[in-house]
Amino acid sequence: MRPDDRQSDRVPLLKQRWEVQGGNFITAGNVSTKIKDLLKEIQISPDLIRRLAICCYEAEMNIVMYAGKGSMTLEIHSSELVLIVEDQGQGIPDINLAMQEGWSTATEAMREKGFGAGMGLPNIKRNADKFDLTSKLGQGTTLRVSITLT
Amino acid sequence: MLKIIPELCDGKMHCLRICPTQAIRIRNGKAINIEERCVDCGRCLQVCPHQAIAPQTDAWVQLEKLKYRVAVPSPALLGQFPREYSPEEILQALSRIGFQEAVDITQYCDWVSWAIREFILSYRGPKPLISSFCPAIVRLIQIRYPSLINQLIPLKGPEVIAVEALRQKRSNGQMKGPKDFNAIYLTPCPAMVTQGENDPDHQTISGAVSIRDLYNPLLAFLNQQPDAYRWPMPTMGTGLRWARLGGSGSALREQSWITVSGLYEIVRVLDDIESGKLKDTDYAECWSCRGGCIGGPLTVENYYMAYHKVILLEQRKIHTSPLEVDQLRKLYHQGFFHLEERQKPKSYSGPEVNLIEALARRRVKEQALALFPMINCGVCGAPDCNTLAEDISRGQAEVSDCIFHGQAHLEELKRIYKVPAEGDKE
Repeated sequence: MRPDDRQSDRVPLLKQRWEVQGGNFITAGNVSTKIKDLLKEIQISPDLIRRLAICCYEAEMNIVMYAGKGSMTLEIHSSELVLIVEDQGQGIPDINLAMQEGWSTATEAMREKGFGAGMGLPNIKRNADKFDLTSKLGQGTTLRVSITLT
Repeated sequence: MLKIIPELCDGKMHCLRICPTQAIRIRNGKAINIEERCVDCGRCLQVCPHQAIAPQTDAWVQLEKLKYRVAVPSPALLGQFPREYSPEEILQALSRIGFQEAVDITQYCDWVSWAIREFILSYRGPKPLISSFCPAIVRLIQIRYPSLINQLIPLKGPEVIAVEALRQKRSNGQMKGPKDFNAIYLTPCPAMVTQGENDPDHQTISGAVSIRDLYNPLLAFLNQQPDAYRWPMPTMGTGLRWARLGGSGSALREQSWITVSGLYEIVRVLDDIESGKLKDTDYAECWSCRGGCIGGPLTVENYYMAYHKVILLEQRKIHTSPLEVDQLRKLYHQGFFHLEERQKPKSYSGPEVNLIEALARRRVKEQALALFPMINCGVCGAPDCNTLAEDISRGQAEVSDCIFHGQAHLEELKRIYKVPAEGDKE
C-alpha cells in the first residue's frame, strides 16, 4: 500500500458533527434521526442504518442523561461508518462495570422516564463492528463505534 | 396511485403543501404526482378544492359487468349512515343496489385480531411488530423505512380473509352459493385500491369502489322501506372496532401495544422504532388516516359523528357466537392467515448508486440548499427548499426554478397565474 492510499483512507468522504444538549429530554433523539436521514439519503443499506441508528440513539441518550453537553460526529469512509461520541461529563469510573448488562447509575427520575435499564452500552456494542470506549474521570468520555460497509 | 386531472387543476398548491411524503410538484401551473414517493394516503384529495385529484377506484358501471358480485364493505361503511339504520339493514341494502350479496367483514376482523395475538405470542424478532393492514403505511415503510420491513406483521387483512373464508366454505359445501364470485371492496381510502396492483394476496379481490360513490344509492334505498331480508342476520361482533382505532389489537391482553394514526405522527413513531426506542413494545397499530378508517378520504360522514356511531354500535346487546378458537388455530397452522409473500422495500431515492456518487449528489444538494431562503414558499413547484435542492441533485430541477434566483421563471409564473402588473387594467 502506498502512503497516500492510507492517507485517503483516514480522511473521511464525509464528516459531520452535531451538538447534543445534556439534560434536555424534549429534543433527545433528534440528532440520531438526523444522522439516520443522512444515511438514508446516501442509500446506505437498511440493515446497516438500523444498526447505526440504534448506536446513535443509545449514545445520544447517554449524553442527555449523564453529561452536561456533548457531540456526535459521523464519518463516512469508503469501507466503514464511524460514529464518534464525545462528552464533557463526569466520566465512567469503571468501564468494565458499565459494560455489564443491567448495571446503571441512573437516578430514580430517569428510570421513571423509562431509561436507565443498564442496557445502553451493551446494546451499542452488540450493534457495532468495532467498539472503543475511553473515559477520564472528571473530564469526559469518548466512544468510537464503527460499522463495516458491506 | 392517485391521478391528477390537469383540466381541473389550477395549480394553487393546496396539495403541494399538505402532502406528507413530498410527492407533488407543480409544473407549468399544474400539479403532478411522483409515483415513487406517493403512498396513496389521499390527503391531497381531501384538500383539493376542484376535485382534480381522483382516486383510482373502479367505476360502478364497470363493475356491474362482472358476474355475481359480493360486497366486502370496510367496517368504516357502517358508521356512515343515520343511526336508525342498523348494520344489518345496511348490508341487506347492498344486495339491492347491485350486489348479489354482502359479507359481514366484522366477523373476520375478529379472526384477524385473534391471529395477530397468536403471531405475537410466538414471535422472537425485533420489536415492535407493525400492523400491515393499512396499505399507505405498508407503502410508507417500503419507501422510507426499509429497515422496518421485516417488522410488518405478515398477516392478511380482514377483507382478504373474509373473501378466502367465503370461497373455502363454498367449495367444501359448508355454505350454499356460487363458488365463483367477484369480491368487491367498499373502500374508505384510495390506498386500498392500489394495493391489488402489486400485492398477490390482494388479487382475491376483483375491484374496489369508493364508499362515496355508493353512498347516495345506499341511502336512497335505506330511506325507502326495505322489504323482507333475503339472508340471515349477519353477526356484528367486536370486529366493528376495526373501523376506528384499536381494532386490530383488540385481542391483545398481556402484550404492550400502541395505536398511532395520521401520517405525520406515524413518521415520528417509525423514527423512534428505527432507533430502537420502542423495543419493549410488542405491537404498533398504525393507520394513515387520523382516527383510523372512518377518517378515510373516501368516506362521507364527518369523523366525529362516525366515531360516535361506531361506539354506539359496539355497545349494542347482540348475540354473537364466540370465536371458535380450535377451528381458528387449525386454520392458522394451515397458513390461512399468513401472507403468501412478504413485502419488499421500494427505493424512492431512485436507482441505486454507489457511495461516491451518492455523496457527490448530497454535496450538490447541500450547495443548492445554501443558496435558498428556506421560506418554503413553494413557488418553484417543490413543497419546500429542501425538496427543491434534492430535485436539483437528481437533475430534476434547477437553481433558477427558485424565484430568488430566476427572474425568467418569475415572468413565466406571472403569465401562468395571470398576474397583472401594477396599474394594469383588466
